[in-house]
Amino acid sequence: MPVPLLEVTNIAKRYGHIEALRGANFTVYPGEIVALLGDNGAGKSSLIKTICGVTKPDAGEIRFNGQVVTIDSPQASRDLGIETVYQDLALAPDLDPAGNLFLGKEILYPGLLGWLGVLDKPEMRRQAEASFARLNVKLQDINAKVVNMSGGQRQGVAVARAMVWASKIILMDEPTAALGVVQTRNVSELIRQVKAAGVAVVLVSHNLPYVFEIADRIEVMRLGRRVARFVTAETTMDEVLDAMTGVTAPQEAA
Amino acid sequence: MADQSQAVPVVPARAGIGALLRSMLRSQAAMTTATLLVLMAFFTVLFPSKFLTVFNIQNLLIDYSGIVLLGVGLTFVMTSECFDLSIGATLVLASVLGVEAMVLVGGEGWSTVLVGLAATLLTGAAVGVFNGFLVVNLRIPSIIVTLGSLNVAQGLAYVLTGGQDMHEIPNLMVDSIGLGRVLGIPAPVLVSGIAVIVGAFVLSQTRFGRHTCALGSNKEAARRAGIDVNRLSIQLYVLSGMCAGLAGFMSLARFGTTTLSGHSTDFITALLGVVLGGTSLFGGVGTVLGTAVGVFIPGVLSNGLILMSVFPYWQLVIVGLVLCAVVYADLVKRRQRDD
Ligand SMILES: Nc1ncnc2c1ncn2[C@@H]1O[C@H](COP(=O)(O)OP(=O)(O)O)[C@@H](O)[C@H]1O
Ligand SMILES: [Mg+2]
Repeated sequence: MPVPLLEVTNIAKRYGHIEALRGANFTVYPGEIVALLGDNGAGKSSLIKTICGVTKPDAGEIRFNGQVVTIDSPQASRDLGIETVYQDLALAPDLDPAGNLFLGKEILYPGLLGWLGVLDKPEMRRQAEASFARLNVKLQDINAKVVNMSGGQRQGVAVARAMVWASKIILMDEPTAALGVVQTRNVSELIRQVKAAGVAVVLVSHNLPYVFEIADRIEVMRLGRRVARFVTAETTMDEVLDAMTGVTAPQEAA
Repeated sequence: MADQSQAVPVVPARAGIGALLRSMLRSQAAMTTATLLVLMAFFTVLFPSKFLTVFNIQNLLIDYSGIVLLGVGLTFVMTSECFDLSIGATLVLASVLGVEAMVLVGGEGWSTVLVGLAATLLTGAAVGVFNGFLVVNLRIPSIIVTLGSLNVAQGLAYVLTGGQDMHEIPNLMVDSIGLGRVLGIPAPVLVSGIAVIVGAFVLSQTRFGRHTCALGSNKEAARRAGIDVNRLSIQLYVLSGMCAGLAGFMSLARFGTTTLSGHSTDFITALLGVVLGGTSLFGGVGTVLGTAVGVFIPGVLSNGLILMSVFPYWQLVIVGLVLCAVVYADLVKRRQRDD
């Protein structure tokens, strides 16, 4: 295996009495698709939120390209080239797709207008259209507010936004949970495109057949810790399920 | 889902006149404009020689110029899904401190007037910082914070003046600004008109306005997108406070006195204008132009009621009822949308 792109070690996070993460480890290699699996409440979302800077861990270390880094805000994570597709998508429903794509990274007119903070809406729309077309994200009306779009279209906007800005890693927390068959296939297509562009994908999912279809590796969490790691091609669903449910003993200590 | 399978790749922007008209017809601002026109037509027919006269309309515009200023600031705050109940009281406190400052420096010239302007704007900004700090740092709901600061500001205004209106205002300020005209346009109307145009531009065309919408639309999404939502919230309260401060200055210029107890209904009138104009109570959607139109619905109504010799306090009753109705409509729309 090459040097890890992201190496998260010994992360602890508690919410009141609940220990969501108890010394969790997690590894991402450059350009791979790695699935993060675990039962409900295993701590997957908590781990994702740590990596993307939404929550601060109580303890632990994050290494990026071998360097210890501090991720204390969503911006810090984005600055490392990490983008996130949140479980709730984190879209602004009253903005249109272009507005969401460029939220926080708006393009301004050059010169005086830009100094005054005037948005270059035509340019953002043009680039957004090009991105959606390139990623094959199908929207009926690029001018419609996101609130008026179907679940699949919103998903497409959220995924496209992450893909446009990510240079190193995309984190996806249950990207297909609410989707039908067709949209799930679309998201898979997007994920493969991301990988082809050399960007790593971290995929949280409950859908084992789907994970086996798309992921290069699998890491399993249970009760706030990593309990197993698999190379997808060298394992079976039963083996992974056993690790998730705790039938097999953890392969590694905390 | 069916709509997904038959979707085509991105449809280019259909930015035709037709699309524009359709979206306008659907918008609340259009409804409000229509309502305003109907009301005006009604009173014109009823009082052909009194209502639609240059004199009456001009007075109406001047009378509501202050409410328009308050409405501009309130539109921004409400677009970010917050409230500012304190604007009317801020106006009063700002006018008191404005007079105090002018008395302090003395004189009757433009420099004195400028000091008064600075003092009113600073007062508004200070109330805004206070509101913003409590909302952002102590996480007290904005409706409670600004209910508190409403009373603090109004109370301070009474304390500072001993309850007596102050009249020490340079004649120049009343003559040139309150009663002044530029190219035939009354100065108060001009000031509010400029505020509306600038406000509308900032909210709809700039990054600041875009972030304000995003904050009101989905605060967590805005935060995750790297927007400093706390700083933005405070900036919005400062903006709203400064609009109230400017309204306080204009009120001084118009009346030549502090009008301590003359603004207790300003907030509700501005609020009605804002929601009638199409700004959602639930944030994310706001239009300053809509507000500017919306404010004149209670304006025309009250003007017409006076012409009809109806006891003018009925206006308050109507404003209150209409407010409930409009907010209910907003609620229904939001529920449909979220289903
Ligand atoms: N914001 C929070 N406040 C309190 N408890 C939380 C919070 N977020 C997560 N938890 C708890 O932490 C544990 C792990 O949750 P989570 O990371 O969402 O797991 P997963 O995504 O694997 O289902 C759960 O017991 C959950 O209830
Ligand atoms: Mg989860």
